[in-house]
Amino acid sequence: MTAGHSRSKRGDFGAALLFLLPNALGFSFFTLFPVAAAVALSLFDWNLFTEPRFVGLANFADLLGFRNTPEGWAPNDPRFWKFTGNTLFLMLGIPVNVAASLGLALLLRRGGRLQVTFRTLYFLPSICTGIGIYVMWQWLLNPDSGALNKILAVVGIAGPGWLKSYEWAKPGLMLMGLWSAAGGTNMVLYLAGLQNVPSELEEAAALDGAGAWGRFRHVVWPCLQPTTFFILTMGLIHGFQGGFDAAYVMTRGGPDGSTTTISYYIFQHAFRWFHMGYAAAIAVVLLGVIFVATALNWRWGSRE
Amino acid sequence: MAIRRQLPGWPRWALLAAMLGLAGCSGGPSRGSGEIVLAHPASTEMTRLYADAADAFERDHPGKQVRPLPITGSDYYGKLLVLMAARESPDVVWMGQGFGEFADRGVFLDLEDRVRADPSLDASEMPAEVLNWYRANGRLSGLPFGLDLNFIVYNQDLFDAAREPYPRWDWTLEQFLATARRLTQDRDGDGKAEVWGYRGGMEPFSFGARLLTADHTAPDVASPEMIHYLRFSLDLMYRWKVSPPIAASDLEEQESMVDFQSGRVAMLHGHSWLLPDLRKRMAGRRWEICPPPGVNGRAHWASSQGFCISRDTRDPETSWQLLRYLVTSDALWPLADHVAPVKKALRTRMLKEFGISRPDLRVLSEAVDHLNADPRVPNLTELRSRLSDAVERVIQRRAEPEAAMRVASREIAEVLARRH
Repeated sequence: MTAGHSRSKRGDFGAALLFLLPNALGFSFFTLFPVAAAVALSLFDWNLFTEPRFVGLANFADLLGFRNTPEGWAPNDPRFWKFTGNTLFLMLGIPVNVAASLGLALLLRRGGRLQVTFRTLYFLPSICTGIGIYVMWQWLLNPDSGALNKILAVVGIAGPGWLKSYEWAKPGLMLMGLWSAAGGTNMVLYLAGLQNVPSELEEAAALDGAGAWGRFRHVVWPCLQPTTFFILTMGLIHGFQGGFDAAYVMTRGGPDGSTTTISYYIFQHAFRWFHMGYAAAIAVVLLGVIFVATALNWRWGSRE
Repeated sequence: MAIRRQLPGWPRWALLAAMLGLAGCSGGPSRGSGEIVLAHPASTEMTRLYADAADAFERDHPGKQVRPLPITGSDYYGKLLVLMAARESPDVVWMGQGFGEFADRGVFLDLEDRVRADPSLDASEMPAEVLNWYRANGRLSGLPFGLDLNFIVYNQDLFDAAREPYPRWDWTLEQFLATARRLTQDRDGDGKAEVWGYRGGMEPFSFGARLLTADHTAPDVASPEMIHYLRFSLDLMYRWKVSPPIAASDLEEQESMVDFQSGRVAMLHGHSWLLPDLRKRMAGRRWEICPPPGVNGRAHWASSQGFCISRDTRDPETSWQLLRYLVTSDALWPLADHVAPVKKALRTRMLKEFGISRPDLRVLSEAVDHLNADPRVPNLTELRSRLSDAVERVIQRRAEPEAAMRVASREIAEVLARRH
């Protein structure tokens, strides 16, 4: 290795650092520092106006702990567990959304004259403003005058109360999620993934007598594993973090907290009731849950 | 590295500096020198009104500048608190029933001495009860100019079609229920009325129920009055089926208005701030307002509109002049037909000028003697959310009123204990 070559490598390393620096600085300022601040804040009691009071792990004990009551052991904060349940329930929509995206991508892959038109139509919800979509679905899901129940009535089905009903509010939101997510980014990712499936493999499978299902199961699906893994990982992360905007616009977290997710609960504590330390504690727990879930998914996905 | 070779040293550093600058710069100071910022909840009408008031103040006070700061969205208090916590406090702030949450944090200027020293401010013109809503620890920190009130709005055409006499102002809950039943129409018998007799829920105050005890130190939500309120509300929805199930959130109000406008609701629980919208929606149709029925006679839910001055204002004197101007001059007179003026003389003038034309504003004017307000305590938002959660649980029939209120009572007690 010559001295000139070594200098050149050092220079390249410096240039690489320089190009990484804006992103690294941005990440530090806008992500790393706020996360560290949130972790620190979770150890304090603070209402934004008075001096923060150090409370150690008390916020976490209030959040995750249980107490002995005359009726038996009960969580210190039953709302947190209820809203965690809501979040997990809403995440049940993720595999359905992924399957729908894959289905649409497979349909669009077949080509045809209207392929571009359909791609655009399916992708439209992703470029519409979220608030507009939520307001539109609020009306669609109106139990009395909403289009959905009117259509159900035509076929003799008495539609449920949707967003007005404790039992049906979450399925209503999941239905909306399916509509907006099926043709969105996931579909585009799958379309890209499908283009990388070697056509010769499919042709070979066809020559070997594999039908459409066989070709999909044994050729296409394995080739799409990396895409599916990425979509699921992102879906998990968004699922844990999600639900705030729809709940804020469409239900205010109701009825009876049935659509309140962890992120909405963080908002309530932080900006409705100004329990900044407690809100930070919930955020830290959420961070931990997302980390563990992603790690498990990563481990499982890598093995696959 | 081709790019490194193409870029000489200094542009790379300039680029980096520019990016850092873009990333790190804030918007700079939020107000000009000598400018007074007036924060208020935004709506098309209010924003125009406050802009006009600011212009008029500037004309009367040469050299002074006022910048209205309309705060959009439903969470006015939350956004204002965040502004104040960030040391970006407006100088003069609109303030209603959230007063206690702000005063507890010590963010307002004490106005007691200024009010006492100002002979033009005749406090006796205002109901003492309403003035006291702006006191913290016995000291005045704000001045009211108007009252927000609830009432019942009714569609006279639907009443006429059902040959139903219009509501009397002294009607009882039983009469209200009977009226709602006669107005409800379920022609196909599917249990979902084509015309609902009533929509919008009741106020606990109509039953003598309240959130806290009189000294504001303990919950009072498990009272027989509160249980009566809940049982009556349940009966409206599920026993007599005269009202659709409601949601305990502000979303309910928007949907109710649309139903009322479309003639699907004969009577609606309304609030004074809806009057401008009602006038627009119901233009050309016959509608009227009346007091809500109550167990012990007439009882209005009430809140107030007023102004406070931020403790962090850089110009307390001009801020005080602006506050005085807003509450004593005619600046906010256009509000008088949907916010009952606090000052008696203005209420008299309101009736004289707007008369008893639709709607009959005597309902608002005379409500001053029947006010029931939420206590202006710290953590009111959280306390109310505990109650509304429990009410929603009952309305969703997921808990009996007694059980739900026991839980609410315990939770409210915990919130109060945390405070103390």
